Amino acid sequence: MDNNNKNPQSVISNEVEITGTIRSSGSVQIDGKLDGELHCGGDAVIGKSANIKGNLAVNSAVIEGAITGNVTAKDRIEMKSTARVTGDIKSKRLSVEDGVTFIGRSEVNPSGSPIAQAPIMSPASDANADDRADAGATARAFARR
Amino acid sequence: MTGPTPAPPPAHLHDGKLFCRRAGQARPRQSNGNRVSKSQKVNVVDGYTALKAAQHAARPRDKAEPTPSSPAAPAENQPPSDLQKLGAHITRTAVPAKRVIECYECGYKFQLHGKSATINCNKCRAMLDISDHVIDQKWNSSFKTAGTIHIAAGGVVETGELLGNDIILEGVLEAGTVRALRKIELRPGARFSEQNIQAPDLVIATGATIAFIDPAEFRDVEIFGALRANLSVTGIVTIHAAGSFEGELHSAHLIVEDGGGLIADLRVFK
Repeated sequence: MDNNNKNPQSVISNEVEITGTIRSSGSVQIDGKLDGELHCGGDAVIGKSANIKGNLAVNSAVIEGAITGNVTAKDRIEMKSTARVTGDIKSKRLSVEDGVTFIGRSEVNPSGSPIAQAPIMSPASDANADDRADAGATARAFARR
Repeated sequence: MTGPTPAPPPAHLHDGKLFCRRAGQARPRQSNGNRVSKSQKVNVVDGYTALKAAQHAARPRDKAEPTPSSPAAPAENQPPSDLQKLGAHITRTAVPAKRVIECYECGYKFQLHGKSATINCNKCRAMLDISDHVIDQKWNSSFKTAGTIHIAAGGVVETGELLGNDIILEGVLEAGTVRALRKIELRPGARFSEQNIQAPDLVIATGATIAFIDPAEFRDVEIFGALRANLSVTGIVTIHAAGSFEGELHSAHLIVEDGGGLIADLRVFK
């Protein structure tokens, strides 16, 4: 089997349960249960029947199954409609289909720049950060770049 | 076998009608049902037909006209007439564009075909203004419309309540309120107070950078620009490729296109 993104080198089928850490330099497809971490230098495909309890550190991930843990991808994370993720995700790029269940924190910023750097301005006058801190009553302002 | 034929009356006295012969017409029958013999060469025409025959005879004969029984076939090399050209392009019926109008009096939604400035609500019969409005200067009064209100870049709403099906905010909302029955679109340059806008759906346009200070609730949210907020969304949040969201998000559905930014605490479940 060639080392192609579409054809994972290692396959954990849905009848297999693993407790421990998986380390792979190539691509991995998991359809079974994993109670532990996955460190993958290639791409990881988490199938619909997969159930992972642990953190994932991969190059890119396609998630269709259930993950309880943090997912860190160097390149991208793709969540299909059947994905169920409880944990934090961190990646350069993210693709989420309608229907996913996701509870956690996301840190995905392809541009690498923080969002909304522009100063916040109130309708009447500019407001700085301190103004925004106690803005509850009056200075309900919105940003303008 | 032809029966005995009575002698034909004089041509100018036969029941007040002129006898003549027209090409392509069936030979008349006599009152007893027998066909008039060919040798008689008579036919019944009225005065109008005689007049048309005279006009026909007076026409120049440089063109051979087709007989009624054999309509002329269109010449192959002859260019099509204007009517034929028009007909060639009429391949389907032009249907006016449809619009969904939501009555701002009773909330009833119905479809409207074509353009109109006003219409009666199908349910409450209220007269609705369905025209679109553009505010590009200072504005101080209230109005309602079932169309779109566009507060353009130079527009400043100082007072008043504006109600429209859709709101596009590109200018300044100093005071007063804007309420959209469907969606509000925030474009670059929009300045407003959070409390002064109401809409079920929110659209952050490309290039706009918007921050909500207070928690906000919407039905559907589409993000083409940048949004920082604490959002609760009952419908679907779509972060498009160039869009980004930062903050907290509680939503039933989330779509992130490849390239969209998302730095947030998320709770996405039905």
